[in-house]
Amino acid sequence: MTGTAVRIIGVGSPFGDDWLGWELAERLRASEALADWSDRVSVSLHDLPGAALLQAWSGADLVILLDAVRSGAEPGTVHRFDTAQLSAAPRALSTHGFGVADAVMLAASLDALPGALLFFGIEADAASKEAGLSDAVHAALPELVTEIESVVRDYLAAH
Amino acid sequence: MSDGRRIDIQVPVLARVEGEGALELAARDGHIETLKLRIFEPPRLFEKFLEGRDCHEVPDLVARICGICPVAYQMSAVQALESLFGVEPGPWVRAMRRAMYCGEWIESHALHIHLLAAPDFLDYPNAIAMAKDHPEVVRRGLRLQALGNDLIRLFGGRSVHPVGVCVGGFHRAPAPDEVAALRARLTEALGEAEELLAWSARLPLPASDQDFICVALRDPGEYPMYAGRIVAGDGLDINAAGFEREFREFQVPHSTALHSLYRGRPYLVGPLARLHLNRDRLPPPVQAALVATGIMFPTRNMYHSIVARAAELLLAVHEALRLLSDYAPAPQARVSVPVRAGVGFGVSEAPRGLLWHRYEVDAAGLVRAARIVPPTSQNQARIEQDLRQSLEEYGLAHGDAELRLRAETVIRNYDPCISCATHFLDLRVERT
Repeated sequence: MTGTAVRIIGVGSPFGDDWLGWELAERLRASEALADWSDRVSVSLHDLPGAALLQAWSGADLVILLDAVRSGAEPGTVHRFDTAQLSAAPRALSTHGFGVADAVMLAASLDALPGALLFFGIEADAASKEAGLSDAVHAALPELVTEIESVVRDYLAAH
Repeated sequence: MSDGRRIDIQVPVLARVEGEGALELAARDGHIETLKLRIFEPPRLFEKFLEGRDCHEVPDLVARICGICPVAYQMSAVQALESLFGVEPGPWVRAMRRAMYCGEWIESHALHIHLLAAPDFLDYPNAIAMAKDHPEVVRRGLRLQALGNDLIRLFGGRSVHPVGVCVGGFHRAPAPDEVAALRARLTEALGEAEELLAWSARLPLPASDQDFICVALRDPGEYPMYAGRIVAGDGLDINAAGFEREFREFQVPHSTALHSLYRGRPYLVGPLARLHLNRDRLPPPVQAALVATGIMFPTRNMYHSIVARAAELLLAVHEALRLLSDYAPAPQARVSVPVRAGVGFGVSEAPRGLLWHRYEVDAAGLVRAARIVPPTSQNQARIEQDLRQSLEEYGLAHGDAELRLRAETVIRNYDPCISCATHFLDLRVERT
């Protein structure tokens, strides 16, 4: 791998809308729009990574974190946060709350944050259990994938 | 000062399980009137969730119960199912499962010692604040945690798709060059793990003098982890199938979680219990490093749990190295599994303590019933006992914030599953 590295990290579980972090990551792994950048973009999937997120993003310049969110918003609502917003976020931000926000704050304390870190999440439907993604989340996926693709391409073009 | 003062502590647990509650404490006149600990237990949901599933799905499903110790759940499950089916996967599988389990002990113990327990003893609200003054401590924790994670991953670990442990063995054997690379990192980590043990013993741990009964596995030759018989400090020595005769779980009115008692009494599982019952099973270099700390085991100070945990982390590095020396992939990483109806029991030592599983399977290999007794539920009655004693000894005249911190410290010392909630006490005081 040469040049700037982008790491896409999907956080999820096999249960209901918790799956969406993985689904987003898998769609980006298979993305045609990012195919030309495949030597600089890597994708990994995790469940409840906690502090191990620091290990997962080490060496990356831009980190894209993907996770389900439960904030009380309408299911399917897209959430976007940068590092500063993540650090100030309430603990219940993500369905894997300890992992993402705390890992970011811990990394900040250790000067171990990547050059740029962006969080993209979708509001989960609390009623979704094990039957796969809810319709609301499903419907929100394509547009968010397109948005992340262009964020990654713009970043790589500029760095 | 304390007369008439009422203390009520209400505890919401994790963000993701809001409203479950964890600790209610009411005290009057310097004495605790009621103390009720509730800990949310994901395994209970999974018992129902497993019913009707194919037994081969079980290792991957139970790996989702806990974010910190998926391997433990897999190991107890596969042993239960293999004993039911009369399958013995052989010495290679046994050794590699133990090596994989070492990864989980390293990962989990490193996380608890550095990120969860150390801030209590070094006087920080959390690891994030501690990292500013002690970055080297936090970085050591993260390095060791990463090493443990990578050791688990070597065997497939928990993944989006099941690629690790299966009933009958492993889905695949790791390649020799991957094992060699990890062995080099384990060798490098030996010094750091030894330093960690010495460091843990130098922490300013509170004094405490308590009487408790220990329960752990015991193996004829090894420090217990993957397998063994269930033993207790009073001479109990039974196999996994005998667990339900000696250990009773019961519903307490204040909690949806079950409490577990051994012959009617609270008991301790976890690193300190294991060490008390198996010190003679530590390899000589670990024994020597433990003696060098100057702390005498057995101990009556529950806070020495962090030292026991550090000793076990060092043990796990040594054990992984031993098990992976002269590594060669097995020609077959799994044996065939003839499914039959019956009931099987499995037990192993999760990082937090004894983890017991029971499965009833029908002739088609579908799970009819599952029962999972996790270490945190076994420790709950002991934690309540400890809290009563520790808080009264500490003095209920202390301010609310101090009481809350002390209660958190006592609970966290057991590394319960709620441990990732670094702030979990919501103190409410009513003075009457």
